[in-house]
Amino acid sequence: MTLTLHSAVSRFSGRTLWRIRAIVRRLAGAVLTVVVATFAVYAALAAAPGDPALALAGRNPTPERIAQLHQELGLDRPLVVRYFDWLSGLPRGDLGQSIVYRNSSVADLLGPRFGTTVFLVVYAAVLILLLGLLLGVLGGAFRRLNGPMAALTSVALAIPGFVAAPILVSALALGLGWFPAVGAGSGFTDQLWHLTLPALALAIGWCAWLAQITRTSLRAEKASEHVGTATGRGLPPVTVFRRHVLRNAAIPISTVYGLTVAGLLAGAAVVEQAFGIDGLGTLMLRSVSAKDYNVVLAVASLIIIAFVVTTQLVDALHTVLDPRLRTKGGRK
Amino acid sequence: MNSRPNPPGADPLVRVSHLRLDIPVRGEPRRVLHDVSFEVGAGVALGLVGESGSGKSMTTRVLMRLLPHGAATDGDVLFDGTPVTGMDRRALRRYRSSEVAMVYQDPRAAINPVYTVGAFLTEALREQKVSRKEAEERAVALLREVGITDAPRRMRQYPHQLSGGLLQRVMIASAMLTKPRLLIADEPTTALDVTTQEEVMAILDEQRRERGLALVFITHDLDLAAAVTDRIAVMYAGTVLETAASANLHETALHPYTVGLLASRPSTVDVKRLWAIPGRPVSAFEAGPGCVFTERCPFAQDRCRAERPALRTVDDHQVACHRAEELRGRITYEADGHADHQHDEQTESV
Repeated sequence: MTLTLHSAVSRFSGRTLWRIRAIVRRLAGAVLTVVVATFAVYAALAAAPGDPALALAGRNPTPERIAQLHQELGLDRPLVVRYFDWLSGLPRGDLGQSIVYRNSSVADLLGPRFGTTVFLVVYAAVLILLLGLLLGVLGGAFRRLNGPMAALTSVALAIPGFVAAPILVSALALGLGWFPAVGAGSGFTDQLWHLTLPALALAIGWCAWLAQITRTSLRAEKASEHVGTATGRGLPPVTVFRRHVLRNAAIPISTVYGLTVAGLLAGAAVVEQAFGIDGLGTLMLRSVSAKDYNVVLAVASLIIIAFVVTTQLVDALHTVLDPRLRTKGGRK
Repeated sequence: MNSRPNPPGADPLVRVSHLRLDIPVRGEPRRVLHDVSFEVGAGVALGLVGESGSGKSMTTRVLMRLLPHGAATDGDVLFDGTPVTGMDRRALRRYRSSEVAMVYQDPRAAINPVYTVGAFLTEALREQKVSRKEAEERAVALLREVGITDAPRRMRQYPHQLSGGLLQRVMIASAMLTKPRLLIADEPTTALDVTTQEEVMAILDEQRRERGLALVFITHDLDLAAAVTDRIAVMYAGTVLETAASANLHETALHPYTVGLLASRPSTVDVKRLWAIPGRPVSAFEAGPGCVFTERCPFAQDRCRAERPALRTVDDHQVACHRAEELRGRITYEADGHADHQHDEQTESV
């Protein structure tokens, strides 16, 4: 009796336990990443020159006034203590108070801007996916288009967002008047209209990047032997491309796309600044120069968490796309 | 074994004559095949034998018309009287899907790793509008025929979960599924474990005989070729130098290269130092205007260097050698690396 029970338990535990263990390990890794990264941000900010108390103390502050402000803000305590103070507030959803905007909590500052930035990032992510894939597939599927696409994407890749932004504004907003030059708009369609240029400016380089990865992965996959097998079996070229080239190239493409989307939140700062959008990015830039610890940390955490979550999702997607990763212990 | 490839008068299933192939290498066309001629009758097995780089695999790629972009062919490749090189897209697809099938060297590279064995096997049938159920039943039946016992379970597995030998059986089963008339096997056992090579070869041989398929079998192993084929074509530097019945090639080889190849096989009975044909094999594009084997041939004369010999019938062989009649039965290589007929400095060291 005990023997059968024991074997039942071990049979149950074999796969399931391994899975649970893998999930726990992943979660622990993700949490650790967030903690280490936020501490790095905190420490870097603390090491940077400047003192938030100076801005608050007004003109010609006395050393006593500064010391008093330090005490009020808790800045007189050691770095590690301050960091853990901040960290312990997280589980309760307490992001702390802003230093610059006194009397307003960080959560209140983040709330309205969060929606705008997420809209912008999602908009850009969709543009990257559609345009990047389209250009990449065109270049990868048709031999004649390979050269032109390589040239086009190299040029687009070389244009940084802060250069693309003013060009787009002067051409499409000021020149043709199709889109507004500044502001985020309100309501879905208005936001869509307002954020088209910023999203384009944000997306353009990443689009080119994704297009290049797509094109080269498709070409590499096309040259692989199993594609020859599929062709040699008389499958129609469209089927060969879809089932054997695109499907296999989806593995590198999805990786690059995932990482791109993860990085968009950080990239949004520059574009928001250029288009005068009051989003998380502009808030963070302002807060960094003012050394507004809690605000910087809150935005940084969001960026870090977005990164960690996306990379985990990409990993999960990999096991769906590549059966070789599903078997316990990798190969076979 | 049938040593006559096809009854007189009837067209062979495959006729390759004076095939030439150029493939672009960094934009420049490079000669890969000089002059390849052979015939394969229905149900007959032909072995294409030669060293690496002799153009055996490329010849099969021409038969399948699986050539890199920019490849240029010249000469005739006829399947059942139809030129393969002239087929339009639709005819080519029909030809590939139902007339010819190929077993590749490395099944792990030749089978897409992201689909199950079942999906791989049924894919081609599904494309021909065979119902899923029927396709799966046929696939399972064939897996059993090639000696895979737990076929239904294997159908659900992925290629990386199968051993190389098992995967090559899957490959063989997939080749049989569409009931082709011609089977091409490109060194089907080279990438496998020595212990499974024999099994896989036996299955391949058995399947093709049962079904009466014509076979083009690529190998560098003369003995293996002799065991499973009816005729052997010996290739060197993109050229067919000699074709003969497999059964008596050993005794009647006419071309100095064929004799050299036979002499350089390792012997398990007589353990002497392994002999090798002196010099290094030349690639097709390096060959001069004369016979492609002149550089390494101990019997080469001025004529051999100046004029390329065409494949002609001598006895019941086809041989491309100017001196075939004259040298018949007189070529022997000794184990110490000297040709005893006409010893000269070219064969001095091994």
